[in-house]
Amino acid sequence: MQTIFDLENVALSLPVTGGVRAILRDVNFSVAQGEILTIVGASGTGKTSLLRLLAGLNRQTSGTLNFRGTPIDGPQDGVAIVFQDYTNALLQWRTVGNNVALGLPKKLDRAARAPRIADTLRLVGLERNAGDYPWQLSGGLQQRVQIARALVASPSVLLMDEPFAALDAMTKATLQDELLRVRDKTNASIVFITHDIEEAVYLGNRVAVLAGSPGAITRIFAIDIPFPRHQVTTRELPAFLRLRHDIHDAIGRLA
Amino acid sequence: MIRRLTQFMPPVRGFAPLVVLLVGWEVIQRGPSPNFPRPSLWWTAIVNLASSGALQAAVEATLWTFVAGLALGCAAGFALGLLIGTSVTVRQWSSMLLEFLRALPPPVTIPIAVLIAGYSPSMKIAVIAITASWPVLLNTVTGVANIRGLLFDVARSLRLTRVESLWTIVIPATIPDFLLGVRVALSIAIITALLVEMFTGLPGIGVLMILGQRAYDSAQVFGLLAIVGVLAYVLGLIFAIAEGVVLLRWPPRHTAVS
Amino acid sequence: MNRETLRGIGGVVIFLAAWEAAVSTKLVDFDYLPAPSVIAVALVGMARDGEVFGEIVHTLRAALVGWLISIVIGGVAGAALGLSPAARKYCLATVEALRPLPGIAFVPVEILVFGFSLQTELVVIVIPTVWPILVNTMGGFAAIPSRLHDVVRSFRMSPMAATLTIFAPATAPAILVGLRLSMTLALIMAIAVEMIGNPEGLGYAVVREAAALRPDVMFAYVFIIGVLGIVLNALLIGAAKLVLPGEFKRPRAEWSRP
Repeated sequence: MQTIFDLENVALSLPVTGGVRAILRDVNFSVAQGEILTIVGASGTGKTSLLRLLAGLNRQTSGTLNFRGTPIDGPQDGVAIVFQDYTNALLQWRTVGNNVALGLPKKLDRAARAPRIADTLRLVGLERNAGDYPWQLSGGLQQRVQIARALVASPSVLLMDEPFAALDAMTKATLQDELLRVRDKTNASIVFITHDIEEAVYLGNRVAVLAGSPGAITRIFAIDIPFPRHQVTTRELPAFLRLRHDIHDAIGRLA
Repeated sequence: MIRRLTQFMPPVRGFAPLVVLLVGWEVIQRGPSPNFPRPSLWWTAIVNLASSGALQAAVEATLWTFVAGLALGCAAGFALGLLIGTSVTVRQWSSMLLEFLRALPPPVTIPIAVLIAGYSPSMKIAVIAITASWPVLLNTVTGVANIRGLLFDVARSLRLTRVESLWTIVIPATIPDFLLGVRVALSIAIITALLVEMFTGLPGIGVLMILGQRAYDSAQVFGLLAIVGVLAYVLGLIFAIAEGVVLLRWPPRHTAVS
Repeated sequence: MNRETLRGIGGVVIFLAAWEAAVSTKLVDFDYLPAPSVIAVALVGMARDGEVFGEIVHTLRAALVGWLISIVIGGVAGAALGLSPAARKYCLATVEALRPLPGIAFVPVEILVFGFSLQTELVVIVIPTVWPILVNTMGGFAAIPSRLHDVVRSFRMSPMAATLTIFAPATAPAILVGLRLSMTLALIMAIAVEMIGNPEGLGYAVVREAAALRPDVMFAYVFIIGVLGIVLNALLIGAAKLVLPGEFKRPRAEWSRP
C-alpha cells in the first residue's frame, strides 16, 4: 500500500502583528492510499493550517512533508481541496456546470470535457442542476458542487476542511454517506478535518487527534468498524461508542 | 413590456409634484415674462430650434462625445483599477497621488486640457474620459480588494495561471463594483460634456444654452434645460436596464440608497 | 510612520521627480506644461501677493453656504419623505426624474435671472447638492425598523427625546454619507460656476491664468484647489468621528451615487 503523505516533525509558525505565532509543533503521521484519515480537534488547534500544508498552500517552518515521496512545493496534481466556506469558494456568477468545469485537468481533450462534467454531476446527484447558479441552491447542494469540482479531475487525494460543518444534521448525514460511496467508487485517499467526533469515527479508517496550542497529533486511533457503515446501526455499536468516549478523553486532556 | 420597464421606476403617481409644478406654472404665468416663461413657450422655442436643425445637431454632438468619452474612461478606469487593485505594491506607492487626484474637482481639468491640447472634439473626449475614469478606477480597486482571499486559494489549488486567475476570477468578481463606478461616471460625463461646451464653445447643447442666454431667450434656455433633464433621465434608465441584465447571473445585491 | 505611508509619499516624490526630469530634458515638450519647480515658485509668489487668499475665501464661502442651504432643504425633505411612505409614493418618481439633471445645465438660466453674481453661484451649487442629502436622509429614515417606532411609542417619548436618542443615531450613518457626497459636489459646482458664470474665486482664477498664458500660476491654483478639497473632506470626517466614534470601525462601500 503506497504512502501518500508522510509528515515528520512538521512545525508551522505564522507571522502576526508584532512577531510570530507557533501554530503547529512536531506533527507526525502518514496517510496511505485509499484510506480515510479524519483529523479531529477543538477550534484553534491548527486544523485548517495543517490542511493548508498538505494542500501546498502554505509551507511548513520546519520538518519534512512528502507527497508520494517527494517534498511538497505547492499545490500538487491529483490533489483536490474542498473548503468549508462553499459560498466564497465557488464562483457565484458561473453556472454549476461551469464551476465544476474549472476543476477539469488542463490536458483533457475538448470532446471529453462535457461528458466528464455530466458524469461527475451524476456522481453527486446534481445532474439536474447544471444550469443553475450556486446562489440559487441550498447550502448542501452548493457544497456538493464544490465536491464535484474536486472530483471531476479524478483526484487520488481529497483534502476536506470541515466541509459539512455549516450544514444541518440531515444534509450532513446524506453527504457523509455520499462521501463514503465516492471513496468506494474512486479509491481516493481522503484527509477529512472536523470538530465533530462522531463524524470523525463514522467516516474514518483512522482518527488523528490534534490537540494543544500549538497543535500536535497526540494520538491516532484505528477504527476497527467494518465498511459499509450505516448512519443508525453503526452509531449504536459498542465499538463506536467506546471510540467516541476515548477520543473525547484524548481531546479533553490538553497535551 | 411596459410593465417590465416600470419595475425600474418608482410608482408613476410619484410624478404628481412635477406635473403640478408645470401645470401651475403654465396657468399662473399668463403674460409674457422675461425670466420665467411658461412651459408652453419652452415648447415653441424648442420646436423652432428643431425645425432649423440646430437642435438635432447639438444633441448629436453632445451625445456622441459623451458616449465616446464615457466608453474610453470606463475602459481606462477598469484597466488601471485592475492594475492597482491586484498589486499591493502599486497600490501603496500610488495611494497618496490617487488621493490628491481624486480630490481634484473634475471641472479643473478643462482649462488645463484646453491650454495644453487646444480646442477640438478630441480634447473634449479626452477630458470627459479622464474625469469619468476616476469613479470607475476607484470602485474597481475596491472591487478587487473585496475579493475574498479564499478565491485566491481556490485559484492556486486548481493550479490556475496568473492570466487564467485574472480572467476567470478577478475580472468577473469585480464586475458589480465596476458597474457601480460606471453609474457614477455616467453623471460625471454628462456634466463634463456640458461644461466643456459652455466653456469652450465646442458644439453641443451647452453651447446652444449659452447662445440662448446671451440672446435673452429664456424660453429657449428653459426648453433646453428640460431636454437635458429628459436626456439625463433616459440615459440613466438605459444604464439601469443594462446593468440589471448583466447582473442577472450575480447573487442579488444590496444596491445603493434609492 | 509606517511603511505604507512612506511608500505613498515616495510615490508622490517619484512622480514629481519624473515630471521635473521629463520637462527639463524636453522629453515632454508642451508649450504650456511647466515643471513642478516652476509651479512651486509661482506658488510662493502668490502667497506673497495675498490675492489668492481672497479667492480661496470666496470659493469656500460659496461652497459652504450652498452646502448648508442644501442640508436644510435636503434634510427636512429627506426626513419627511423617509418617515412617510405615502409621501414617498407621491414624490419618488419626481425625485428620480429631477435628480439626474446636471446642476451645470442651470447656469445659463441662472445667469439670465441673476446675472454674474454670487446668487447664481449659490443656486447652481444648491440644486445638485440637495439630492445626495435628500436621498441619503430619506434612506436613513425609511430604514428605521418599525421596532424603534414601537419603542418610542411605548416609552411615550417626546419628539425631541425620540429624535436625539433614537432617530439620530439610527440615521446618522446614512446622513453622514449624504453630507460627504454633497460637500464634494458643492466644491465641484462652485469651481464649475466660477469658470463660466461668476468671475470670482478659485475657478475663475484658473481660467484667468490659462487665458493669460501663465500656466505656472494656473497649475499653482489647481494645486491649491486639490488641497482645499482634501482639507474639507478631512475636516468633515474629523468632525464626524467626534460625533459618531463607533461609526468608523465598520467597513462600508464608499462611492455610491452622488
